[in-house]
Amino acid sequence: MRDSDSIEHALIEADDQLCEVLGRNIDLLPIVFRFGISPNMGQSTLEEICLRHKIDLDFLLAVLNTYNSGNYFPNTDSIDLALLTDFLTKTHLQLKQVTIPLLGSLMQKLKIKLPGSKLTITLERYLNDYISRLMEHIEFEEKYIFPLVGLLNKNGSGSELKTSTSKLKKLFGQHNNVETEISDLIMIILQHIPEDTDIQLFHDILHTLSHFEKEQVDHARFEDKILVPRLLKLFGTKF
Amino acid sequence: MHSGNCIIIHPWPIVQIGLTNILQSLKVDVAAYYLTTPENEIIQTWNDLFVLIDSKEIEMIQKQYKSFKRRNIDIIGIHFEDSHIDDGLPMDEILYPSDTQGMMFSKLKPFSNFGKHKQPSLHLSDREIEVLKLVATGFSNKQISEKLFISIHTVISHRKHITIKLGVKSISGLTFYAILNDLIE
Repeated sequence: MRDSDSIEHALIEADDQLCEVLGRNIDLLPIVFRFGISPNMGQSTLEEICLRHKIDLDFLLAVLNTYNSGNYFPNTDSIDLALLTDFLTKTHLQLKQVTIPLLGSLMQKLKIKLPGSKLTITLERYLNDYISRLMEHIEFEEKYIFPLVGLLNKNGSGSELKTSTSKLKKLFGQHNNVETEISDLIMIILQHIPEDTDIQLFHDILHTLSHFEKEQVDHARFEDKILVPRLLKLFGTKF
Repeated sequence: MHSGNCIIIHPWPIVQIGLTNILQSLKVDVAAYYLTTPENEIIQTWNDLFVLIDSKEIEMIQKQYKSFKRRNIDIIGIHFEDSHIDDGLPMDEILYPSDTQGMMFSKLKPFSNFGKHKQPSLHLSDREIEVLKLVATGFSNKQISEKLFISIHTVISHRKHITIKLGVKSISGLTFYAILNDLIE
């Protein structure tokens, strides 16, 4: 069970200090980075940081609270879609530049520790397949979905919008297995950890996968619960 | 400690006697008979056995299904009613009134040498392993039902049990599991 489901996190508010927020949930650190906020601003409140760096406070609070608690759901109508797609693009970038390379380096370590083992070979194949499908999904979103926000702002033509609606509906079905496949992977690894092995390495792999899973779920929540419904609603008003 | 490896829970004596006869031909001893689901303290003492239970009673024990799997207990529903049986009820097999004695024999046989035929690392029945192999190879429920000569309901039921026992839901996860355990190439 994810932390956010089991622990009742306090609501993050404008007058909370950044260090206080991160102290309660250090997993929010990469989210804060995505807004260009440095943790050395720790003693400032979120409101002060937003004023100083021209960040939309309501959007920052909506994002932090969504990642902080699985039970929180922001007021979707008030979210600026251009800010949201920018944030989601940065999330993709972090996935490509940090999380996936980290998983790759852990796999390399596993190959050194357990060379030629069935677990290593199968796990690598499973992860490579998963990551390649994830990359295709990311490319689809960045190429077809995120630009729709700009198209709407520019009052795109009816035919352009109609074509886009079908792409949006396609996106809806794509997140179903995202969470399941990683949690399945964690479960299978747990059942097959060899005896007398490097437990710390397996701990690191499982820990990284667990973060990866949570990140995917939260990312999908933004897209499925906010971005896509908002875009479909806006498209409806255009016809 | 039970002297046999089967429990029968059914209110009709004729059902108890009929099943006991079939089980005897499979060299299975019945450890105990109950008319309705016994107290929880009794259920907690069960290990390594299979339970033949009136389908009307299954709701009473369904919350314990995971615990049953950990203790190597299989559940076989006896559905001698005309009504439709709920697909979501946790069962490893179902006996129907239309089943012939031979069909009941075939259905019960896999459980008769319980604890011996099973692969302890998997805790899956032979039939579940067959279904897992086909799912992992990309067969649909319909194709599996045709290939194994079983109903789609039974395929779905096997798949549910596989998921519960392994804790793995996705097809790619099941494929990974099957390769890792040498069930498929």
